[in-house]
Amino acid sequence: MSLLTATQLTKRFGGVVAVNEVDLSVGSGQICGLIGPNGSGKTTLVNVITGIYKPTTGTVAFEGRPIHNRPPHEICALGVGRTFQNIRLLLTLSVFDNIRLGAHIHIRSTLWDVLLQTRKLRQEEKEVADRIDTVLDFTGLRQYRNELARNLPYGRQKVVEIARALMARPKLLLLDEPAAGLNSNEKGNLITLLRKIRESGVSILLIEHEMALVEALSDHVFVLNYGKKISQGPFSEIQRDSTVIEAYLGRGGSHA
Amino acid sequence: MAKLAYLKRIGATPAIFLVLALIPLTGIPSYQFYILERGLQNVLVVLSLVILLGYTGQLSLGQAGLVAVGAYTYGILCVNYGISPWLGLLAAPFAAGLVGLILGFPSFKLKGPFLVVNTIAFSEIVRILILNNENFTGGPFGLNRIPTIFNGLPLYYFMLVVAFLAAVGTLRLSRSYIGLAFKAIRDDEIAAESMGVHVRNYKLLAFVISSVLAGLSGVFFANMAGYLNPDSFTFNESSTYLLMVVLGGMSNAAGGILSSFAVTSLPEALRFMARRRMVVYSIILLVMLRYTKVLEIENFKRLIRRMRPVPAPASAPAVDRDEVNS
Repeated sequence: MSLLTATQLTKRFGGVVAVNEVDLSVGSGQICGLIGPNGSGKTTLVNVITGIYKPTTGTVAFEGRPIHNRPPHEICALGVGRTFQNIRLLLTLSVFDNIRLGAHIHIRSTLWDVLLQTRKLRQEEKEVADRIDTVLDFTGLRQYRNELARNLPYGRQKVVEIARALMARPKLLLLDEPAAGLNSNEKGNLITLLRKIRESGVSILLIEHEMALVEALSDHVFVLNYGKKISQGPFSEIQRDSTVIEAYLGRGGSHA
Repeated sequence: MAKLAYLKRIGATPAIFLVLALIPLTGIPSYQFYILERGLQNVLVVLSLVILLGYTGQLSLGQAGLVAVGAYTYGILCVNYGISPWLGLLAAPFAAGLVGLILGFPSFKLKGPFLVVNTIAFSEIVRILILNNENFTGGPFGLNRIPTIFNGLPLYYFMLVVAFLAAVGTLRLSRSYIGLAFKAIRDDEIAAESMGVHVRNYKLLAFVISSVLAGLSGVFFANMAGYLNPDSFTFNESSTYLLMVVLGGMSNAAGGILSSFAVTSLPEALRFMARRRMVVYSIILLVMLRYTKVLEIENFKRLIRRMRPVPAPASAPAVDRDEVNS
């Protein structure tokens, strides 16, 4: 059964149709790729799914429930995690605190627990701290635990974003260009990490320009161009699809 | 070692309050004692701004309006309705919190300078309402003979206890998930809401907590002066509060407490200069701002280190400043 289903999703900004009647679905346990040239509407699509934008028309359903009219924090609480294309970490805070933010939706302590430092709060804080350490080990960030986020190299910051999203225990993870700006070594580590995440039972929608990554990971690939879905299927089929090749390279052949 | 870590964790705040508790025992003259009391009253407003501006990133230049709401709620209830000062003490922060809740709503849409203008307008409206509802507030003639909770030294120690509790609460808030949500809103609202933070509710919470503290400060003002007049709650006061919190390092409670005493007493200490006083006052403030946040403990330590040349230690792990040194 599919975890996330977008139906006839459209987002207009004035006269610009950024996303145009896109159908898309991510199955449970799948890694789906979302590719397309720059400006094809991939990030807008993710922002609509996560509630940052309201769709102009169309629906998004998560586990069968419509989510397109819900605010971002509720969508997060339902189990949709995400990372950002331009890193959005809390740069003045430590890596530990950045990841701690991911636990926000699971915290049950109240303001009174905080002011009175009740046992409930301390217990909960200890559980969160333990889980942060688990996530730090899982993502290989242990050594940066107390470092300020802004002092980390770019590639590590991207991993902190993934760790923060994992901390919320999402069922679906939307990754917006996680490999952009990484060196080949870091890309290799990223592939391993994303496989580990899938094995732990989290589905992934992967936006990526790095075709090697999409090829290595995706069960299914959607291709966008000018906001429209132009193709979908396994990577090997997409690769040979003439409309896809045309979108990336332009119409060729006849001039040759 | 564990003891040292503990001391580091509780930080400078208890030490500052211990000193504050000892100062009156030295038998300082009554005028200096009054300045000390004023500083203590300002501490509550500074803490309110540490939470609102330092943690949550919402700049308010209308804190004086909230102080006025607290002071006048207390004054009107006690003078016009003959309610017990203790009940007034509870009612005033409640009223201020309610007003703060309403003041928080525009922060959903307004950012930066727009929000600031909004808070300035708010405090002006409060001041003008007080000025023009004469049979209620005494208008420009003020509200006289306000009954007090305590007087003199007991009042000072009562304020000290309340301020200490407020400071401890602020620090606990800062370390907690609530403080983290506030800081997430300050640093990146979109990241915050994408991680499940209900941005609107947390902004309102910050405004309410901040207003409650400002309202309490108003009650103390009424207790110290025994008389209220709208001239005590002008834009000038609001900007002084902002100055205190900026000098203290914005998100640093201990720094804010120190700077509220420093900024309160500086013009008094310079009184012997007569007409040149405000010029010198401004210059000193500018110099302090240039060597920013000297009052922040961490920077103060750094300054001392720089004065005593020692080989640079191996880089210590960086820790969120506002949590450790407060």
